[in-house]
Amino acid sequence: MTLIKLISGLTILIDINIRLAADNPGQPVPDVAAILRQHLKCDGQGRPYVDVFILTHPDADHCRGLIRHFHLGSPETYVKDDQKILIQEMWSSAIIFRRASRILKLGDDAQAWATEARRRVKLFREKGLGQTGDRIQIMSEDENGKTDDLQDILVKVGNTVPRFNNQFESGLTARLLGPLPKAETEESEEALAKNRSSIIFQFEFKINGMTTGHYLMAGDAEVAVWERLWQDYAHTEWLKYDVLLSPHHCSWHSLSHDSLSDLGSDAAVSPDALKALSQAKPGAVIIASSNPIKAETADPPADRAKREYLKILKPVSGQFKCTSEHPNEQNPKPIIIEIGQAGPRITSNLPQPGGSNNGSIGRQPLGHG
Amino acid sequence: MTQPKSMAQIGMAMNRGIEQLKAHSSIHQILDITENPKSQFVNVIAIVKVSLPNSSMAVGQSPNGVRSMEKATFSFSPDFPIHAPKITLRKDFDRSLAHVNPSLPGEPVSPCIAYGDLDELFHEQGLWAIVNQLVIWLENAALDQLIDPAQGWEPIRRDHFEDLITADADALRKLASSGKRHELRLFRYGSYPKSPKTPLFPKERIYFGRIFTKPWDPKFQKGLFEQQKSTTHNISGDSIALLVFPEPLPSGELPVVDRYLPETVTDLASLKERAKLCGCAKNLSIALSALDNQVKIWDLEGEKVPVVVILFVKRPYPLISEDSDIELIPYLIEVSPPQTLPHGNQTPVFPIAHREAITQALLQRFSGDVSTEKRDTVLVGCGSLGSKIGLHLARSGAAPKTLIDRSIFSPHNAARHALLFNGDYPLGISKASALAIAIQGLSQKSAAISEDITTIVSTQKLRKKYLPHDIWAIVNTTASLTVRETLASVPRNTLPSRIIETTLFANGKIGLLTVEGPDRNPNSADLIAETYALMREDTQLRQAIFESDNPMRSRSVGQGCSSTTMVISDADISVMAAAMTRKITKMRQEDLPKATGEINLASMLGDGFGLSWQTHPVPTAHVVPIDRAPSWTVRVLDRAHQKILDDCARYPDVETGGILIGRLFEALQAFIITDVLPAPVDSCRSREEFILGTADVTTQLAQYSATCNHTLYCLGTWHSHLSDSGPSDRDWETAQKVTEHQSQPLVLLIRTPNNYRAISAIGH
Repeated sequence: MTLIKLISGLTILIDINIRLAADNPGQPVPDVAAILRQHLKCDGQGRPYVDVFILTHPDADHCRGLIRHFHLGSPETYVKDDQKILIQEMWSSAIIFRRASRILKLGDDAQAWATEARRRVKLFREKGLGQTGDRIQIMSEDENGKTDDLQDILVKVGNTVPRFNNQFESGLTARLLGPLPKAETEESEEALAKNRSSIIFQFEFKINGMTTGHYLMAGDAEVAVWERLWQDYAHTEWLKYDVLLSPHHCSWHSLSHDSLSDLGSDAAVSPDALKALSQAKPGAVIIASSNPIKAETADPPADRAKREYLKILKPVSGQFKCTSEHPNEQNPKPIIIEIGQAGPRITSNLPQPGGSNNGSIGRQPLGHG
Repeated sequence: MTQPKSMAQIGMAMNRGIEQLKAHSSIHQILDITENPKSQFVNVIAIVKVSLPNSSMAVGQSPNGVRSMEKATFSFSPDFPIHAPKITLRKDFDRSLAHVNPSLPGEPVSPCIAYGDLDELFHEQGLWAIVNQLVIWLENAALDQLIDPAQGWEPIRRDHFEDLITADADALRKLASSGKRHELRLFRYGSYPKSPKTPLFPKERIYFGRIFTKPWDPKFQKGLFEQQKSTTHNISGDSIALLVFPEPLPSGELPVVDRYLPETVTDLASLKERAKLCGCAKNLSIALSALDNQVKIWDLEGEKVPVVVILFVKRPYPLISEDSDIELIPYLIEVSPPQTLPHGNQTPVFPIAHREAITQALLQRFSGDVSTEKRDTVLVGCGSLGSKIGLHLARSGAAPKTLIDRSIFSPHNAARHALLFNGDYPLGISKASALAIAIQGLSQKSAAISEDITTIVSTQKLRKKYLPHDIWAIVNTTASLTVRETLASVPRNTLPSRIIETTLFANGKIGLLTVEGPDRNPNSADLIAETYALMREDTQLRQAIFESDNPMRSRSVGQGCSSTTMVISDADISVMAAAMTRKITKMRQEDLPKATGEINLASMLGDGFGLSWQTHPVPTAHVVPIDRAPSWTVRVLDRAHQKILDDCARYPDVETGGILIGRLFEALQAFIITDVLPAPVDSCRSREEFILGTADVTTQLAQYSATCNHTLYCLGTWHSHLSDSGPSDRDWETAQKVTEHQSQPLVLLIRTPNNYRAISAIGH
């Protein structure tokens, strides 16, 4: 889950994975929904909202918790007591026009996303640009003409998104780099398969017209996508980043075609994919949104991938951060990056003063004789 | 100097503190623990992790030199945990940053990490809060964001100064945008020789003084010369303050100086350098020539005279705790007439401290008084209650502009009067003058009138002078029945200001604050009569006011605090005065009651600690002129009015009536009717007439009056007419008849369907 908050108040949420356990106070999983809500504002009717929700692709671990925490359907049907989060504008890929298939399997939350997106598209076709809570923008066109009549809400790959929730935003430029159009040799179903069809953005943050930072994020884009991005955009600045959300939770398969389990240390990195992911600016931060990265655990996250990222970061003296290890594995906290005039900065996780219980009470059963 | 310290040698509390430091997520490492054997401070040297922007992280430090791993020393005093540890940074840490505590070059840099008292923060939130503040401070320092626009611009840091001036900064700031290059102001100063132990600055005397808002006038030089004649230990005199304003941009705007720099000025050359940074270099040089023109004619050869120079600088946002973005940076120069700057650019220049002069604006700011009411308050009565209310108002910047009290301060007043006297008690000063002097000390001007208020209201000239029509309200604290009635009796067109009355009863256990209604109806007489009626109805109040066995009982009504017989402590009066002032201030902020008058009763009964207030709105009195005696009126208050209407409604087809209760106000020439008693059972009602019976009347009236200690009594009768007709011959006869048996005048009130009529033999 990534939340972008701008000085103007605009909020952009990218993917969610709110496990059921996270909603249960008794579980050791961070209550990410509560943390998210702390950062959201309420609209005039007391409804918490995000201006924009981007679902990069409909894998369960990118939209889990949608039904439980977000209002779906017409904003008029909002139930105040539920205090669900209102999505003022959805940004979705054209995958919502696809039927589920052998390759494209959708879970309940993903189905709900597609249904809500189709409701909003239908509304647009009938009435034009909707009110907040009814808006949607489609990221990249569909290939069989399904998006031809949606030009006003369609963003083509290589372009920037002109409006955020129907507002101009001087503090942010969002350049769409994917999903990539289908290669000629590919079957369309395969091309639209979820990890191939991830929305990819380079966000450029600005203060008074001056660029202060670049954030590159690519959902679960795998190695072929990165090779293709390098081919297409090597000559541009569009892959540069101060902050990179490592694709597919620090997966090896975003860097290599080889199987780690089969080839072990012989597994080779794709040179083009590596170049695409190496456009790090001085001091850049690469973030793995994953479980703690251990040599022995299954990919993703892959320790081998982390090592490749560390190699990328070395010449620019950058930092590698894992969401489950920040600031420590025992008590992970959100990674908050503040992008000010001096560029991005990971803010310190200062402890709540006063409390003397360092977590020793409440983490484990304590016998009292 | 310091020696390593093992944990075992350190006390438990400090040990825990060090353990807490280690456990903080931003403390990377504890490098060393040493003790200063002399001071017994334990110094814990720690490495603090600082989150810098990516690009700074890459090189390990920010452009201004804040490191991602900063060394900080936490100095624990031997009395820890009474005081929070003091924090210092490396000696070479950038000391030009804002929010660095004053220190001398070469000393470790001491960051000012929290707004307010660090010890208080420590006791409130613990050691981690201190570390958190340090981390936030270091991170803001790295981002060059120590000055927080929300908090305000940090005024220039002076590491040391010896001299101090006061000035009304707001008044001076207004001059900065007047388009002038500079101004000369009167600087009235004092000085005394400096102790040789403090050779901080190369000068021999310490100066202090006040800068006046009025311009410098060469005739002030008299004061200048006089000071020098008395070459005693302490010198005082008049000199010049030179105000140097920024040079406007071509747009006319003042240039904004958004770079923070601590003090660097030591001599004229560095002052000029500073003026350049502040955008007023040219104006400084012009101002210095103007100063020169004055100094060269001063006939004080061989003497040193202090001159103040204030640079005015516009900042990007208001200064901390100020409303203005103009910073005043004051310096002091010793001139040596006839030469202004004998050593040219090497002439020493000393930074001096500025303290805000006491001003009305300052007092309002500190009291949180947001009143926009500009009209004046007149205070009548400067006794114990009046002086307290007057000073409370003055301290919040809303001093009454007119103080009226004819009495002279006498020794016993000291027991409860708000004013204090230094040593000898001043004989012969009027209370009004004494209060005016105190208010002057709070930078506000009040006229002290030692004239009798009753004389003022009855003399046109005095009335016009002291009670003009545009005053906000008259606050009568005299508790004098004479004053009350006199003020109430002045017609509205002569004295339109509403009167607020404050009175204490029952040895100060009960307080009364009444507010006249719009157009002064109900007036203070109506309100006191109504107060008696309310007190009579309330068991607790009735017992305290009317039934208690105090020596004042026979006089029954509120005693003035000026009374020598009322035993009451200063503290008790203060409790009431404070609460009453709050009410007055609230009305100044929110306006006087819009539709009614008001009775506010405070009671300290019960445990004697708390004060409980009741507010009773009092509707407009029905004012009925008395036939053939037009200067007299009957004023029917609401309780009586409603009872009359009820009775008329119960007997719509016959005449009905009853007995009037209230109080006669001779000076006001008014029968104020607070209540009615029902007609006796043997009364006769018919279409033609109403005959008031006699059964039980005497007993009932006696009982009624007894329950309010005869403050309210029978004032006559009322009866209804079925049509809007005037008094009948029969009515006139009755009026005459009741007068024959009464030494006190009585009234006959007639209620017609839509109106009142009144007759009395009073005019005959």
